[in-house]
Amino acid sequence: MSDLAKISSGPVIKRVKGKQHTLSEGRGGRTVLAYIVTLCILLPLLWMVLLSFKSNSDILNNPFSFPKTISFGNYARALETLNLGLLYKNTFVIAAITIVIEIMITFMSSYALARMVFRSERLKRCVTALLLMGLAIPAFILLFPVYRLTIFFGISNTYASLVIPYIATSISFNTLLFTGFLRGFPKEVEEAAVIDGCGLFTLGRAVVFPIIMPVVATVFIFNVLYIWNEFPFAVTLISNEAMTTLSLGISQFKGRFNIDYGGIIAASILLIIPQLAFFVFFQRFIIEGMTAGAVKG
Amino acid sequence: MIWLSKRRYILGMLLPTLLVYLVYIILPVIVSFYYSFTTYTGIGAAEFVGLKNYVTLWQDSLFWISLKNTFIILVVSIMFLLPGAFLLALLLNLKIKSGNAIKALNFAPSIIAPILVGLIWVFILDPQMGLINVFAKSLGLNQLALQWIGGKTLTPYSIGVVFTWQMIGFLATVFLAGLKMIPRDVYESSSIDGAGKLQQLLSITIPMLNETVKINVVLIITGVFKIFETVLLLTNGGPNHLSEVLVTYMYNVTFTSGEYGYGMSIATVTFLLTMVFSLVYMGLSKKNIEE
Amino acid sequence: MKRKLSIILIVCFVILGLAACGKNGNAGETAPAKTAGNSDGTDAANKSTGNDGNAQKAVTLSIAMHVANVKDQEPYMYGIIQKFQEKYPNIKIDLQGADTQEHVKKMKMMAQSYTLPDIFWMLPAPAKEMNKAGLLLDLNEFLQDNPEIAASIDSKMVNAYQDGGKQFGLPYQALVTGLWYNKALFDQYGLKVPETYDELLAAAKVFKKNNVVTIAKGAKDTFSTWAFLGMLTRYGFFDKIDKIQAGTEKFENPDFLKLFNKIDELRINGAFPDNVTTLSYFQAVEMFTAGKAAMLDAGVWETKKIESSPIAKTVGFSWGPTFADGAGNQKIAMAVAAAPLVASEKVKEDAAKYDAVTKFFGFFYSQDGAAVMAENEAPPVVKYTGNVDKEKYPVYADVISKLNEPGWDRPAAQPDLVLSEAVANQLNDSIYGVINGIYKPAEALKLIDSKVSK
Repeated sequence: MSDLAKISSGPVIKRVKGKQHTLSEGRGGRTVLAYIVTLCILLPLLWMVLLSFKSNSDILNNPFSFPKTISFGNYARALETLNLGLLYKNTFVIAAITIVIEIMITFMSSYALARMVFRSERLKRCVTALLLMGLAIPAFILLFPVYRLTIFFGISNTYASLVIPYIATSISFNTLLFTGFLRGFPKEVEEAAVIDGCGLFTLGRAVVFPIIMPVVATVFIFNVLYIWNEFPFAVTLISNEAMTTLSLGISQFKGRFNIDYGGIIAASILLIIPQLAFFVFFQRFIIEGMTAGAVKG
Repeated sequence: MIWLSKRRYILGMLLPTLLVYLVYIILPVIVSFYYSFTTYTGIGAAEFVGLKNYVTLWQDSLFWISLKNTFIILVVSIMFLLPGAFLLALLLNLKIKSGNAIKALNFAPSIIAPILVGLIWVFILDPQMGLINVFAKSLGLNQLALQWIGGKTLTPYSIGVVFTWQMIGFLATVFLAGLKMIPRDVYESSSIDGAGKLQQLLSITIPMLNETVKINVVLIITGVFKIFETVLLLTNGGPNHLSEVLVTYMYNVTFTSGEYGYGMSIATVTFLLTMVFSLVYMGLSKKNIEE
Repeated sequence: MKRKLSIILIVCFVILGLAACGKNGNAGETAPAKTAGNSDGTDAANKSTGNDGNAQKAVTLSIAMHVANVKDQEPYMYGIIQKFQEKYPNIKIDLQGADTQEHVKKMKMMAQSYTLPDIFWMLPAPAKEMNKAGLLLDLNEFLQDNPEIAASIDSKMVNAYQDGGKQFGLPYQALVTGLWYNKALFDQYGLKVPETYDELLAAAKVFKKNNVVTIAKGAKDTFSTWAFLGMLTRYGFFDKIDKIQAGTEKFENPDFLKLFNKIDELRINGAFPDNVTTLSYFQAVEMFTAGKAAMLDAGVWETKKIESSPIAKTVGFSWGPTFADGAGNQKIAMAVAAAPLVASEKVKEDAAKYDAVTKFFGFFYSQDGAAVMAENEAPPVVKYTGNVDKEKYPVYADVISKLNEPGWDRPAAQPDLVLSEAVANQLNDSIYGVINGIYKPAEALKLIDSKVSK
C-alpha cells in the first residue's frame, strides 16, 4: 500500500509534467498550427454568432451580409421565452442523479468484465457483447416501449421517468470506454494491491478508480453533454411544464409551419456557452489525471 | 485476480447494470422486433403478418438507397474522421498556449444542438446561396460550384464531411484520454535509447493506442448508422428520398407515414447491420493483435 | 453472500426509490399552483385533482396542443383558454404541448396506454384510427345540445370528422389554402394576376427572364403542397377517390396525368426556385415576403406574418389557377376543416369532467371564441358576425372577402386529409418529385398507386 500512496500524491505528477515538456523547439509553429485548425473548426460557429444578431428575414435572405446594426432582439426573445432557471434546475437534477448512479454501476460491471476471471470465458464475452449492443440502437425504436414501461412503473412525469432511460442508454457507451481502457492498462498495480491484502471494494475505490481517472472524466463529460442535449426521450416522457429540460427549449420556437431561426440561434448560444465552460472546467481532470508515475509501483 | 473472482462477487458487480439494461434496452428491442412482424400503425391492434415486412424491405428501392448512402458516409468518415481526430489529438497533446481553451473550442461542434448543425451547414452547402458556391463563383471557379446538397449524388459525401466536423473534437478527446494513459516513462526510456519522435509515434503511441482506436472505430460505425438530425435538416432525405439514410428513412416510414410495423423491420435490419460491422471489425482487430 | 445480496437490493431500491422521490417532489411543486387562483394557463398541474371531496367542485382539464409554446405559436388557442378560465374559475386547464411531429407521436403512444389527455389536437388520419379503436368521445350529443353551434359551423367541416356514425372531432381551425400573390411584381412586368393556368405559365416565362421566382416553394418540407392539392380537386379528385380506394380507378388516370404534366411544364419553364430541393417551407415564405417571389403556395395562417411584412400593401390571396382541360367544377375554393380538436372517450367516466369538456367546446365555438380568433387573424371556423378593420388589416380583410365571394364551391376536404398517412405522404412526395425534376409525371402517379394497393 505504501507504493500506492505515492501514486496519488501530487509531487509525482508535477515532476513528470515538468519533464514532459522539456523540448521547446517548434513550439511557436505548433501553436500557430493549432490556432489555425481551431479557427477552421470554429468558423461555422463564429458565423452563427454573427447570425444571432440578425432578424429572421436577414438570416434567410442575406445570410452573408454583415449586420448593419447589432440587434439583441433575438436574445431578448430567447430570454423571454425560456424559463432558463427552471430548465437548468431540472437538467441539473436529472444529470446529477443519473451520472452518480450510472458511473458507479457501469464502472463495477466493466471492471468485472475487463479484469475478473469468469469460469466461462465465453459467457464473459457474450455479456460484454450484449452490453455493447446498445450502441447500435437508435433511440427511436425504444420510445414506444419505454413510454409503456414508464406508465407501468407509475413514474410518468417524475425525474425517474428520464433518469432510468438515461442510465440505460449510457450503459453501452460507458462499458465501451471503461472496458476498453481497463484492458489496455497494465495489471501490475492491482496485482500488487491484491497481494497486499486489498479487498474488492478498496481495490476499486482506492486503486483502480484513481488510475483510470482520465477515462472517468471523459465518460463523465460525455454523459453530461448527452443528457444536456438529449431530445427524443425528453420530449416523449415529459408532459408537465414544470419538468421540462434544456433540450426542449429549442422547440419553443417552432410553430406548426413556422420556425423562429433567430430565436433558436440566440437560445442555442445561450445554452452553448455554459456547456463550453463546463467542458473547459472538467477537461482538466482528463489531463491532470494519473500519468506516468502510476505504474511505477 | 482469481482470488477476488468469486461467482457472487462477479454477479454483484454485474447485476445493477444488467437489471437496468435488460428492462430498459433489451425488452424494448424485443418488443420492437415483434412489431416488425406486424402491420402495426401505432394505434389500435397489430396484425401479425410474418415475414411480409422483410420481403417488402428487400424489394424497396428506397431502403437500398438509404443503405448505400449510409455506407458512403461510413467510408468518408473512416477515411477522414479517424486520422483527422488522431492528428488533432496529437496536436492538442502538445504544449500550446492556452491549450485548455483550444481543446474546448475544438470540442464545441460536438455540443451544439443538431438542429443548428443542419441550419449552419445549409448556408455553407446550399448550391444557390451556400458559402462554398458563392465563394467559388466569385473566384470564377464555376466548375467547382457543385450541387453539394439537394442534388442526386453528392449529398451523402457532404453529410460525411458534416459528420466529421461534428465528431472530430469528440473523438480527439477520446484519443487524448488514451494518450494521457500511456505511461510517460515508456517514452523516457525510449528517448534514452535514442528513438526519434516519429519512431516513438510508430512504435509506442500507435500500438499503445490500439484499444482507443478500436473504441473510436466502433463509435464511428455506430454513430454513422445513427445519423439523423443532420440529414433531416440539410435535405430532409430529399430530393425525393435520394439522400435518405437508414435512420431517417426508418423515421419517415414509422412516424410520418404511420407504418410502424414496417419501420421496425427497417430498424431491425439497421441494428443487425451495425452489429455485424462492429463485431467483424472487433474480430479483425483482435486477430491483428494476436498475430 | 447475504451482505452482497443486500447491497444489490439496496441498489434496486435506490433506483425504484427515485421514482417515488421524484413523484413527491413533483407533487410538492405543483400543489401551490392548484390552490392558487391561476391566471396563467401554462401552470402545470397534476392530472389527479385531489379535490374530489371538496364542496366547490374543481376540475382539471388537460389539453394537449401541437406546438411547444402555445402562447406564442398558437395565440388563438391560448387566448381562448385565458378567457375560458376567467368565465369558469373552477375549471383548471393543464395545457401541454410539443412540436407537431412529436405531439402526434406522443398522442399515439398515449392512445396505446389509455392515457390520452382530455382534449387534444390531432391530424385527421390518426384521429380516425383512434376513433375506430373507440378512444375518442362522440360529440354528436354535444352538437344536439347546442344547435346554435351546430348551425354556425359549415356543415362540410363538421361532416369531415364523422366516421362509423360518430362525430369524433370538430375542426380546430379552417384550412384555407391557395396562392398568395404580390401584385407589385406583376405590375412591374406588365402582367395580369393569373386566373387560369395559361396565364400562370405565361407569367412564369416572363418572370424567369427577369430572375424572379414565380411560385416560392420548399421541397424540404414535403407537406407544403397546398395549392397543388387544390388543383387536384379541379381534376375531379373527389369524383374519383372512392373508386381509387375501392381499386377500380387509379391515381395514374388521364386527368391527374394532365395536371402532373402541367406541374412538369411549370418546372421546365423555371416557375420554381432553382434551389427548391434545399429550401424549407419557411424559407419560401421569407423569399415571398422579401419580394423575391411573385407567388407563394401557402394558406391564410400566414396572414399575420404577411400583414407585418414590407409587402403587406400589395399582397392578395387567390384560390389558384383554373384549367381549361380540367374535370368538373373549376371554381373550387379550398376552405375546409383543418385538423380536428378531439376529446378522450375516458372523460365520460367522470360527470364533472364531461361537463367541463362540453363547456370548453361550447366556449371554443361561441362568438366569444370567434372574437379571439379574429383578433389573431386566424381563419374562421364559425360564422363570425364581427367586423374587420380594412385599414388596419388589409391582408386579413382580403382573405375574408375571398372567403365570402359568391359562386365558389367548397370541397369536402383537402385531398390528402381523406387518405391514409402513408398514401398522403406519397402524394406530397410525388408532387415534389415532379417539381424537383426527379420523377416523370406518370412515374410519380404510379408511386402513389403502389402505396394505395399496399
